Amino acid sequence: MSYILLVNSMVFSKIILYYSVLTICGLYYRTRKRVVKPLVNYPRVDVLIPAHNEGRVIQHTLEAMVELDYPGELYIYLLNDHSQDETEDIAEAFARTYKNLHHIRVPKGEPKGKSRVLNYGLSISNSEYFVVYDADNQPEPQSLRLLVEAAVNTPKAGGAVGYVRTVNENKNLLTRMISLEFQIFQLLMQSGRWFLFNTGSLTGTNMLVKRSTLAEVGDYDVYALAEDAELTLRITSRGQLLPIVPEAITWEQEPEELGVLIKQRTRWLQGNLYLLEKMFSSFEYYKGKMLVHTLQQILVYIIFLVFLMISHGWFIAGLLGIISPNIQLPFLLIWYMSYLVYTCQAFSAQVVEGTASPINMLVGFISYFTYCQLFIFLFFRSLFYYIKARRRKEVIKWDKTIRF
Amino acid sequence: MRRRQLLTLLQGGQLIVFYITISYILQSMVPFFIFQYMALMLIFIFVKSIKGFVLLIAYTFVMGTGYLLLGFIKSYGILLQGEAIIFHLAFIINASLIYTTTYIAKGLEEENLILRKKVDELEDYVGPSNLLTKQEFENRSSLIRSAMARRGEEGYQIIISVEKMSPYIQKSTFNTLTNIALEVFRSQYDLVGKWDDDTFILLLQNTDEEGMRIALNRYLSKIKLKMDLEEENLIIKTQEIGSKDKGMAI
Repeated sequence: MSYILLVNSMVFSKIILYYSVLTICGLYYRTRKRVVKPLVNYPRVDVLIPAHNEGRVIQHTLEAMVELDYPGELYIYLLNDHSQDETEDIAEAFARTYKNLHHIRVPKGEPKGKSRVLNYGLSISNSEYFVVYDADNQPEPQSLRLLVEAAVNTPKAGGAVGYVRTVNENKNLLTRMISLEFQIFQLLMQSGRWFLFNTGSLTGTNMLVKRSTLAEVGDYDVYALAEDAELTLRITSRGQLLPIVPEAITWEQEPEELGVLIKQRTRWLQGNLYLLEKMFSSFEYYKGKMLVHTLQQILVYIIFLVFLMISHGWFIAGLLGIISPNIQLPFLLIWYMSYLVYTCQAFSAQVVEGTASPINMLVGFISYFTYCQLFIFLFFRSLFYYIKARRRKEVIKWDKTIRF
Repeated sequence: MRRRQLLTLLQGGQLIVFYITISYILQSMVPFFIFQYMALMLIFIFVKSIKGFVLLIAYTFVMGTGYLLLGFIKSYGILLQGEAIIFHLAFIINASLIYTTTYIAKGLEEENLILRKKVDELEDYVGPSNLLTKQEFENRSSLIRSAMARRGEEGYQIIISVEKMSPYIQKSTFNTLTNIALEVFRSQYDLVGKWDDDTFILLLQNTDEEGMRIALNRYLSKIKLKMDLEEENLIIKTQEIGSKDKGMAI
């Protein structure tokens, strides 16, 4: 037992150190002034928007799309996947009014989900670059131009990744916590890792990809529920880079109810479990920059989780008086540092994004004990459904996120 | 709460926290603490807010990691760990207060400068004199030019600069010359305005070249009565306005 606790403490301390370094690097990259290099010729770009029953949000999305300030040729494709609501009417009205906006009715097919719809969109378009926006996104006018400039100006870039912000952040405590999570993710996983390792991760939306890159790595994997993470790995495996452009902002709606969040995150986590399974099936995932992604995946979903469970178990057992430690390790300091690092990340993200306010800082203080602990429940829920589906040889259903 | 009030409150808090820290918490390491305190103050004064924030976060992590390492190396028991956490909190609370008060004060100072500049722009006259500000001169000059164009009149703009004068007497010369200009030229009819710190501008309306030269010579004579000025140190440019737009240097 003493040995397990010692290993547990050492691993946690190293994780704390790693995230501390990542935070500082992310902060540095995020606050550094970047020189914008305009292009002589802007390549043609296709905007792909997969949509299924998006009547509540699609008007705002299309309004933002037609206001994109892009100096080159731009074609917008609303990929309507059998919507039964007013998505059809709204899309048709926009398509009749704007010459470069096309309402595409995607043929029926299996498996259902975003990947298949995107593959269809790619088959009917042919620009040099394509950018994906979710149907609830409102990109800022300059965001696409910034993504293209970064992709063209960065040597060996296979695309570029922008920044996702929460449009309904002030709705309730849950949306504030989701927004904070996104801000921390952008700061650490994106800015910090790009600064340290030159690796970026596609975020599913507000992401630009070079058509030739996709031709090289193959279409979207229709069975991947985290299609963005899966495509990131394939692009990285070809030695191509995905630069992070924090100034390219899109505003996205996040779940306002816990039930909706649980469904959405279960899908995301199942997608990550699918990736983990792939990672353990081939050595290809441990070469070059792929190693950074693979280790990150293993660190978060296996190492961190296992040690977190040991830590929680030890804490509860200690509280109940079941076990008493006969080893002198600074558990209290480790716990304090974990909390401190997380809270500093939260504050740093808020300061960088200009979202620091008394209520948001309070959210930063309490998220560690509330929202973050939800991860454990979500992980085991996802694992349960994932194993169930695998045993029954079923294709995991794509649960669409409900809009508000 | 206004930022000024918040700053006062925080500065009060900073003093109290400092006193508590050195008297009750970090008594065993007062010199080390004060050294850090002063170093942080100096750093925050000289670096920009966002860089200061990165440093504050780095400081928090480095101190925390230091205590964690000590905890491992010296096998801290629960009491010592608790004490280490309190020590660390004392360090970072003091550092955060220094950061906050320094940057709120710097922010207020910058805001004050910006507002001062805006007020100067909005004022019609420079200080207590009757010399027009650049913006006011441009506004009035634009109206006069339109009226002159409508009436088919001609006029002149005279730009006078003291930039070639010795820096020691530039300011006083500028003030004397503009005061004389305000006396000599028709106050209700012509305009005298400040262009920049060493240049001012005169607008003479409904005047031909001869009239302009008479007025200018009257002005120069008046200057000679008061000052022993070498004319080559004064840059005078004239520009015809109204129907024709010509410029010449005298």
